[in-house]
Amino acid sequence: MEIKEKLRMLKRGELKAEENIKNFLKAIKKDDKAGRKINSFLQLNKNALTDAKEIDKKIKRGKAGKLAGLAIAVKSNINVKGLVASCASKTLENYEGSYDATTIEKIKAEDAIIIGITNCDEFACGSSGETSAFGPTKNPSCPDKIPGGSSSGSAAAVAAGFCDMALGSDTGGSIRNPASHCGVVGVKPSYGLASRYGLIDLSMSLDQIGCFAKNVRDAALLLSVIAGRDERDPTTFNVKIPDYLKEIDKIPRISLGISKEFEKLCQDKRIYKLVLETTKKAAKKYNWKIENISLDYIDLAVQTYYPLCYVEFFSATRKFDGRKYGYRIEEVCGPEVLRRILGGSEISKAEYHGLYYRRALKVKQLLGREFDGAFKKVDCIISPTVPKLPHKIGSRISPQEMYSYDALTIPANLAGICALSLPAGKIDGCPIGLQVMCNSFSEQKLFQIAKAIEKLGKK
Amino acid sequence: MEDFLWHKVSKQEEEKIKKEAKQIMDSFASALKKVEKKKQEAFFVEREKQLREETKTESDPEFRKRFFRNAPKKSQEYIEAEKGEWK
Repeated sequence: MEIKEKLRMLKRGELKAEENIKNFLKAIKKDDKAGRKINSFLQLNKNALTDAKEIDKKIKRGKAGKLAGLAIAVKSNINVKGLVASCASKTLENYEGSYDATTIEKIKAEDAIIIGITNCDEFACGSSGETSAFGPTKNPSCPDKIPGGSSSGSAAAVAAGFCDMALGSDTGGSIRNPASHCGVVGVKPSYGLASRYGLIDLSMSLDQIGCFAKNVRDAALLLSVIAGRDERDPTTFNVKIPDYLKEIDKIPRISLGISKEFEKLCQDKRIYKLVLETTKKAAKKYNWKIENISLDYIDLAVQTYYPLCYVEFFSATRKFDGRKYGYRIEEVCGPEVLRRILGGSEISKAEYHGLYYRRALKVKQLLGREFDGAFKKVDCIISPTVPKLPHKIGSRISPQEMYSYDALTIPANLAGICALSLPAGKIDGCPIGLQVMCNSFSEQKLFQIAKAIEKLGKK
Repeated sequence: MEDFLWHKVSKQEEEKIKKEAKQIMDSFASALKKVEKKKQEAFFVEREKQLREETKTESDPEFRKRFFRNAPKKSQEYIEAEKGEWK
């Protein structure tokens, strides 16, 4: 059932919030730890039903918010008061969120119910959903294959029908990558659109909180709630947030950009072909102009991203010394987290001044300028979300092969622009995501374009 | 080649990971070398209308309780965080 219809039923009293939560809890009980063993949740909110009953009373009084009665799952690196924000790590396995992140405050203010905390790659370090200290998440849409990461549990929970929508965080693709593999919609807003206050950071110059939903409209609804300036996060911008839903069905008159470089980066050419065909079909149907654009440095995105990520993550983890809360991170973390800490520590040494981090910062600016130039010619850029099909859980691959999963999503983080992944079809039974990228703070246009493409697939 | 499933890291593996991380960073830095001279870096962003209004926020009476619950060592009113234990 679409959220639009569900909200209508909740408002009319044809469906109770309590019933909505009960249905999800039943599905979770059946298939999360038992049955299909998706392992998408790390903790369920034991107050969810009580909260739902309170929301039902508000609905009855006609005083409820715009998400009233909906169940939202939250990635375990986002603080929710009273629930464990473990970041899927033993470091914080008993760490109870002592306050609500701003995005959570906003969701609660609109009367949604936090149904639980989702699994992810440990401290969001991963592209596969395998590095969690509490076991990998399974892909509900492609059994035995990775769900993608790092927001693996949030994507899987939406795909499996365990919640209405979910929150994740995206530093180099951690929302769009699992959205692509799990066959759902995932949106990374522009850097500075949504508050990061209460997010346990991976790489603070790139992190953004974003949304998962089953369709574009629902993702737009959730983003409209969490977006906006927050005094507690000085990186948020004071931009006007339009009503994303108001004109979401409008077909915009646009020119869209495609790039040969994306094809080169696609390790499985069938993925590029599928996305290109969908793009051409949409362009024909809506009379959109297709422009070939050149993004010369896009092949350096992975090499630019990881030095920044390693150093910022090393810096971010210095607070996990086990003195005020949790355990000392180096003593209890898994290999991928340790690789980033040790690598970040090494390359930020004074003797390497200018060799790694500063060099990557320079190329980051160069990439940003390339996108600035591209958005002077076109309204959006379309590419596949992930350049290859998901591997089997537990496969042996190199770190570089793992990092290359994010080759097409990282550029949007480096440029600070908004991007969204939506399902474009299947190859070998695995969902394939199509990525739409728009200039910073052009989320309204992003949703309109994505909605138009989504509509095409439904016919 | 390795699997990415979580496991406890041994001292031996830690050394291997450290070496490998440096090698990865070296290969990435070398790839970036060819383009780094194309633009001068600037470490600031011009932002208008970003002055903060100083407002008083309500404190959450439950916060202190929750924060103390997370602390591994405490003595009545204080969290004990020994300097010597962190190396």
